Amino acid sequence: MEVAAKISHTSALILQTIGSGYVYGFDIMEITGLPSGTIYPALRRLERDALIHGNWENKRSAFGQERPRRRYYRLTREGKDTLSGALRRYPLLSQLAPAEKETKPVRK
Amino acid sequence: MKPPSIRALLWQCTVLLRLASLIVPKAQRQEWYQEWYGEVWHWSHFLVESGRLNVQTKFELAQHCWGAFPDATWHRFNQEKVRRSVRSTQRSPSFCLVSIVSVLVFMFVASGFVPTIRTGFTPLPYYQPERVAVLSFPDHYVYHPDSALFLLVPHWSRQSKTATAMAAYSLRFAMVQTDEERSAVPGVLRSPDAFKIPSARVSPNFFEILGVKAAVGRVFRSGDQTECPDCLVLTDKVWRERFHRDPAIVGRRLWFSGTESTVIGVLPPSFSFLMPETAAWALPPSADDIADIGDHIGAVLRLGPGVSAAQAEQELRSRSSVALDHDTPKVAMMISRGQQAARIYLLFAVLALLGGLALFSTRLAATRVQRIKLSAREVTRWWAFLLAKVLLAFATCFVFALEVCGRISIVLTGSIQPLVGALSTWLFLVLSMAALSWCFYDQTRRCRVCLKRLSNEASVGTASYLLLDWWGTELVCSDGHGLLHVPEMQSSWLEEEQWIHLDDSWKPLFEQDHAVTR
Repeated sequence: MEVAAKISHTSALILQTIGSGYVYGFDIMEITGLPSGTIYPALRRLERDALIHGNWENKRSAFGQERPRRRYYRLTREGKDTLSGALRRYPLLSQLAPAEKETKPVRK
Repeated sequence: MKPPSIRALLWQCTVLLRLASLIVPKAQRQEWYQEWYGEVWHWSHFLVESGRLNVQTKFELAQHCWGAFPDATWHRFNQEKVRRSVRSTQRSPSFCLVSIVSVLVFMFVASGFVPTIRTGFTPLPYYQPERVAVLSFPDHYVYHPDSALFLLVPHWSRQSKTATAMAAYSLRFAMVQTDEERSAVPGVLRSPDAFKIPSARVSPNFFEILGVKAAVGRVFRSGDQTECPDCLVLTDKVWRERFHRDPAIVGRRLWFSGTESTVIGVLPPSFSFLMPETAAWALPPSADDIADIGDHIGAVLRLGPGVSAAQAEQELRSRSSVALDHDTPKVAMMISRGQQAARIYLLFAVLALLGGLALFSTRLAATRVQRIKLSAREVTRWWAFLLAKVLLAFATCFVFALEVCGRISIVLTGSIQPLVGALSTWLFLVLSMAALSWCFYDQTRRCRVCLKRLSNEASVGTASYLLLDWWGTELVCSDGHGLLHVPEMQSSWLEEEQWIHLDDSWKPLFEQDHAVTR
């Protein structure tokens, strides 16, 4: 797939992390070990290219707990296809795969 | 109530995030800040509540906040946007004009602020220049023996009722050497021809008629032909460049055409005659030797008050036609080089313009027909841009032809050769034709509305059907104003180029960015 062929190793790692259920910036940073200056621009690019979709946490649940809302990311269908292509392209990437997160945040 | 440690931590982070948010475009700023603030809020609370807040975690949090700056910068100047912006700028009409102006300015600076043009546009450095005329023989001026002229001109002068005084001149190349240069072994460093410079032999009253005085020493005067036959007058340029402003130049002995001569003066820097490159001025040889050949011969006339060049020509034509082997003399008023250049270059510019119009008349006519739907302002803008481009291109060609030819001549031969004048004029014609063709071509490849250069060139039809080529090409305005169809040949697909105006309903297609680049 042409799109998958263009994806970088870092982007593939981020996609895989999101796919494993780590869905907000801080979580992704913790898992991948990449700095915030790398993670966030990469998230912007992936979202721009429709490989991930970001949406805000439900207002009610956040404000009910007196905390700001977080932005959660999830893989789109194209993102999933791209990730499977990237895993074929980078065989060692699967060894870096984080364990699936057990508790996923509440979506709106 | 937040504990003081969290408040301080959050305050520090907020300051950094607020600063970084200033980089983000205003439309995205609020959302961008909310996401970052949410992350930092959760992280700092987690650190405090889990008791893991220490120097190292604080440092990590600070690092995280500093990461907001690259992210904010990406929003403002992401690579793709910058690339798109550069591409868009390159296509804009202002970029086109600025580029031509830059080339023009570069040539101004590189040529030392156009010395040739500046000299050309200064007024003639003569006394009452409106009464100075030149007699020439345009039918037969190459390699003409000047012996007869130096003998006849004083005779004509005495008989003339239209001219108060006349002096003959003969322009040619002559070898000018110092003693050291003459005694040096020829061919070791420079060939003897390297010492040949444009020079002139003139009647003793030549400078007197022009009303020119020397800057150093003196110029020729009546009686010098017998008192000082081997005297030499140099131009300021030769004195400056070859003799390094030698203060003892007057009286210095030089070899002029194999004769030992004495320098008696240096002309003022502003002085120039027909061939401004003429560097050394001497008197005609004695009557016994007078059988020399001049490249360009003639006479300078000081006309009587109110006498025109035509009257002087009429008077002189009968005498000179008999005396100078049926040559037709021509008398013309001396005009400044600026005026000469203006006339010649204006003529050539008009020729180039006519040639260009002949080449592109069908395209321009077609363009006009297709522009019916445009507003008067857009039509004016379109023509104003073409005019500005053409004028700037002409100015660039003018500076290039005039200044560069002279420079090349100096580099190759050490002086500005007489051929340079004609060469630069023809070079101007060729360059301006090329520049004009480019201007018209560029204009037809621009959007009729925004004047941006059309992009996304696509071949249309079937390859190899038409002389191994496609049927034509389609181009599109990046802002979605329209499409241009260009046939490969006029009969291949369309009769001529066709501009299709796209209405506002097409706009969203051109606003979206579908590029996938990571």
